[in-house]
Amino acid sequence: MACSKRILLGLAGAALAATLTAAVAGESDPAVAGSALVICADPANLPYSNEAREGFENKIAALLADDLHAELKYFWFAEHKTFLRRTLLDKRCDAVVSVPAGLPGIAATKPYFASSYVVVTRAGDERRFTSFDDPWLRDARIGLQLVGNEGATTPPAVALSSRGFNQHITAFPMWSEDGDKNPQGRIVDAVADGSIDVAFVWGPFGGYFAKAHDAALRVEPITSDPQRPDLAFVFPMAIGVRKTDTAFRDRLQEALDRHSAEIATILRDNGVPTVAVEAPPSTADASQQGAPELTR
Amino acid sequence: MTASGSNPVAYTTSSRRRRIALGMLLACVALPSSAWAENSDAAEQTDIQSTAATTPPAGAASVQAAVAAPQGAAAPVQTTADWTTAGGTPQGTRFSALTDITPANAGTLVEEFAYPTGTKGSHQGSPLVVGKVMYVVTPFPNKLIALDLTHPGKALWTFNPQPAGYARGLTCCDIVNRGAAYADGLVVYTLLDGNVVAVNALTGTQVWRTKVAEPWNGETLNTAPIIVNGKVIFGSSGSEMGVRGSVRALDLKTGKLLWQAYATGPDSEVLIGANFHPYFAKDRGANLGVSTWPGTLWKQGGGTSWAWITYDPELNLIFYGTSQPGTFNPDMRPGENKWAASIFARNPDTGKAVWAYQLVPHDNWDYDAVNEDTVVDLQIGGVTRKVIVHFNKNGFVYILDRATGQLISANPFSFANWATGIDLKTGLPQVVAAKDTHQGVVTQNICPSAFGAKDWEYSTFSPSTKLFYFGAFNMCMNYEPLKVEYIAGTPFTGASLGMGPGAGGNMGEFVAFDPIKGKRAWSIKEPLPVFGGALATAGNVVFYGTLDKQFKAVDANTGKLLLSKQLECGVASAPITFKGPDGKQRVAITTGLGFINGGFAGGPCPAGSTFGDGSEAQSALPQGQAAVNFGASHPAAAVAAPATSGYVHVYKLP
Repeated sequence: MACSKRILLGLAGAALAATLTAAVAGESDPAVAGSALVICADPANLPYSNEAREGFENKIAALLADDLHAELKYFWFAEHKTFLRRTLLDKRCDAVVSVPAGLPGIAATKPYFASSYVVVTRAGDERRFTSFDDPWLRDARIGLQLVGNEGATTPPAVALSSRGFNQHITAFPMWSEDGDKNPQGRIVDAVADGSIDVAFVWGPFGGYFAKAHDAALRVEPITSDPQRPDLAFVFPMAIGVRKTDTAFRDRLQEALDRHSAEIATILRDNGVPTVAVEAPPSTADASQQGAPELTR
Repeated sequence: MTASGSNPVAYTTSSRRRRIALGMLLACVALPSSAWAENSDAAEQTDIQSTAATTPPAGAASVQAAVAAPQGAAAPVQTTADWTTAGGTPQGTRFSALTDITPANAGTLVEEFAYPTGTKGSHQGSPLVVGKVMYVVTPFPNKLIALDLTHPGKALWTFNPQPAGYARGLTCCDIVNRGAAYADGLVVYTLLDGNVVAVNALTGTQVWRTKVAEPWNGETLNTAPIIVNGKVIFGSSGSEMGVRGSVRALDLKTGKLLWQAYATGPDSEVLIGANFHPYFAKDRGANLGVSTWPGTLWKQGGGTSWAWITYDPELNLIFYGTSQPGTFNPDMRPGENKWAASIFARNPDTGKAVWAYQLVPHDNWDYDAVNEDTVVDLQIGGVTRKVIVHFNKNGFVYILDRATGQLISANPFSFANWATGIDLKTGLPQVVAAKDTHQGVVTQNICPSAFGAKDWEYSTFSPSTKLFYFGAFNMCMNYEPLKVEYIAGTPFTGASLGMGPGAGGNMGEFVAFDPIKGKRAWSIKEPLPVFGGALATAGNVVFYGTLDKQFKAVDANTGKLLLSKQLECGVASAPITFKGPDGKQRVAITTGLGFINGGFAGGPCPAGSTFGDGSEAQSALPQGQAAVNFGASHPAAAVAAPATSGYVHVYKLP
C-alpha cells in the first residue's frame, strides 16, 4: 500500500475549532461568542494581508469575526512555500481567507470571488494584448512572476513558452528582504517605468499595484489561451479550513453569504480584478464562454 | 531529452522535492504495487545473497590518516579515531579503520547515551568527533553542541549563533543543516540565514562569521562544507527563487571569500578558463553557461550544489554536482541548460574548473547531479583507474576518470525506464520518449520517481569488500497534470506526482553494489524509502538508519542483519564511528524527521511544529554575536517518549 493513508493520517488532526462549531446551526451561534477566529495570513503580502491589517483578507476576516462574534486573531506566516502545511495543517490557525477552489487536501467554502491572470501594459503603448499569439510578444520585454518552488510556472509563462517567446524574459521574485515593502509590486512598476513592456501577473497583484500608476497602465484580464485549453487562467477563491472542520466551514459560509455585497466592495477597493465565478478548475475547461467583467 | 530541446508541449513542473511532498501529502494517490509490473533484468533486486568474502587487509586498524598515498603502496583511505568531515574521509568513502565491532559482536551493541538536540525537524547532518569531544549541528536555529565524551550525556557548551530573521515563523526555506567540518581547531558550518560561522572547538566562541547569501533572494545555506588546503568550500540551496547556484571558498582562518564559481553564466563566472578540458564534445565550447539558454534565463538558472563535495589530495581536485535548473518550465528554457545537472572537477585553491560533465541535458524529471562523487581507485579491466563513482537520482551509476572526466561506465543500479542507457561515447542518455512528461498528459509509471533511485543520502565504500553501500528508494511515479497549486498567494495549475513503490512493493532498500561488475551484490528491502546515509568499517560491519526508527548493522559481505535497535524517531542522516576516550569503538547516529521524509513515516518526528515550542527563532543579535551556554547536561537515561527533540545516539560494545 502506498503513501496515502499514513500521510493523511499524520496530518489530520482534531478540530481545534470545535468550540466554534459546537452547537446549533442558525443565525448567530452562541457557542462562537467569546471564541477566537484564528486566521493564517502572510505578514507582508499586500493586497492580501499584512500585519497592519491593510489587506483585503484582513478586512474580510474582520467582517467575518464580527459576524461570528469571535475575537479576530492571526497566526502570521510568510507564504513563501509550505504555507498551508506549516499553518493551517499544523493547527496553528483555523482558516485561510483566500485559497483557490479545488486545492486538494483542505475543505473550502463555495468560491466567493474569482480573479484571473492579467496583462499589464502602458496605456500609451499601441501594442495591445489580444492573445498569446500576438506577434509583438516575440520581441517585447516580458515580465513574469517567479513563483519559485523549483520550476513552478504560472499559466502565462507556460503559454509564452509554448510559442517560444523566451528571449526577453525578466523574472520578478515574489518576495525579498525583511522590511522591503511590496516586492510583488516591482513587476508592475517595471512596466510603468519602461524597463519592461508587458507583465503577466496574477490579478490581485496586478490590479492592486497598478492603482498607484492610475491611468498610466492598462490592466486587462486573461481568461484563456485557446491553444492551451489545459491551462487555467481564472481561479475561483474560497475560504479554506482543515478537512475535518466542515461544520466550521459551514458557519463561515453562512457569514460569507450574509456579507457578499460588502466583500465585493472590499475587493474592489483593494484593486482586486474580479471575473465571474465559474466552476472550480478541477479539470481543464476548454469551453470558457462569455466576456469576463473586469471590476477594479 | 535531446540537446536541441524538448517538444513544444509545455510542462509545468512540480516534480520538485518539496512540492512533491506537498503533492503527496495533499493529493496522494495510492498505487497498488501491482501497477508497477515491470521488472528489470538490469537491476537485480535480489534479496540478501552471499558474495565471496574478502578479508580485510592485515593491519588495517593501525593505519593512520585518511589520505591516499602517492604512487606505490596506497595507504588505505579511512578514518581512525576521529570523524572530522561529513564524508568521513575527504574522498567521501565514509569508511573507518576501526575493527572492535565485527559481525560476531555487533548484535550486542548497547546505547551509551542519547543527547537531545533541543530542536525538531529533519536532522540531516552527521556528528563530528575530535579527540574527546563530539560536535552536533542542529536544524535551524543551527546550534552547535559540544558533548563531553568522557562524561556521557554531558555537554561542554552550546553555541547558539542566533541566525537572523524568521521571527513569527517567517521563512523562505527548509530548515535542515547537513553538518559541520573540523580543521585546525575550528568547527565550521553554514547557517540558514546565509552566513558561514567558524567556532573555536575548545571554547565554543565564535572566531568569524561571513555572510555570503541572502535568503530573501532565495539563496540559503544548509550544506556541509569541506575544508581543503586551508579553505572552507561549500555550495548553496534555493534555486527556486531564481538564484544561480554557486560554490564558494572562504579562507579558513579569516572567513574571507576567496573564490566563487557559478553554475550558469559566462565562463568568467563559472570559472572556466584555458585549463578547462571537458571530456565530451558536447561539453566543449565558449560560454556554454549562457548559450545553452534562451535569452537571459541563465540568470535564473538554478543549478545549486546542496549536497556533498569530495576531494582527491593526489590530483588536488574537488568534485561536486549541480542540481536542476530551478525556475520556469522546461519549455521556457529549450537548450541543454548548462551547467545544471552536471559534475564539476575544480582546483580547490583557485576554483577553476578542470573538467565538467553534464549528465542529463535539459532534464525534466528532476534528476539532478548533487549526489556525492566518491573518490576511489578501482581495478577496471586489469588496470588501476583513478575514478569518481556517482550514483545518480536517475538510476544509473556513473564511473568517471577523475583526471579527465572520461565516462568509463554508466550501468543502472536500480530500475530505470526513462532511458535505455547512457551512451559512453557521447555521454548522453538514450531517453525513452514515452516517459517524457507533458503538460496536460498523464504519463504513467516513470521510474525512478522524482525522488530518485538514490538521493543525497551519503553512500559508503569499503576497500575491504570493494562494494558501495547506500540507502535507496524504490519508487515510480505517475505524472498527472491539472491540480491547482498555490504559492505566495498565486494560484496556478500544476501537476501531482502519484508515487508508489516499484517492483516488490517496498518503497526503499539498502543496497550493496559492486562497481566493477556493475551490479548489485545484495540488497535489503525496506518498507520505507531510506533517507539516511551509510557507514562501513574495516570490521566488516555496515551501519544505517531507517525512517521507521531502526538503527541497523549488517554484515558487509553478506548483508545479514546483525542489529536492529529501536529509536524514538526515524533517521535522515548518516552514522559515524569513532574511538571513545577509553580507546574503544563507538557508533553514533542522529534522529529527527521533518515534513518531507516524515511524510513517509506518519508525520514529522518529533511531532509538532518546528517553529514555536522552544524552537522559535529570536531576532538576530547585532553583528553576529552569539550566545554560548556552558554546561547543560542531560542524564544518560532513556529518551522520554514521545520525543520532543531530535537526538544523537551513541552506541558501544558492552
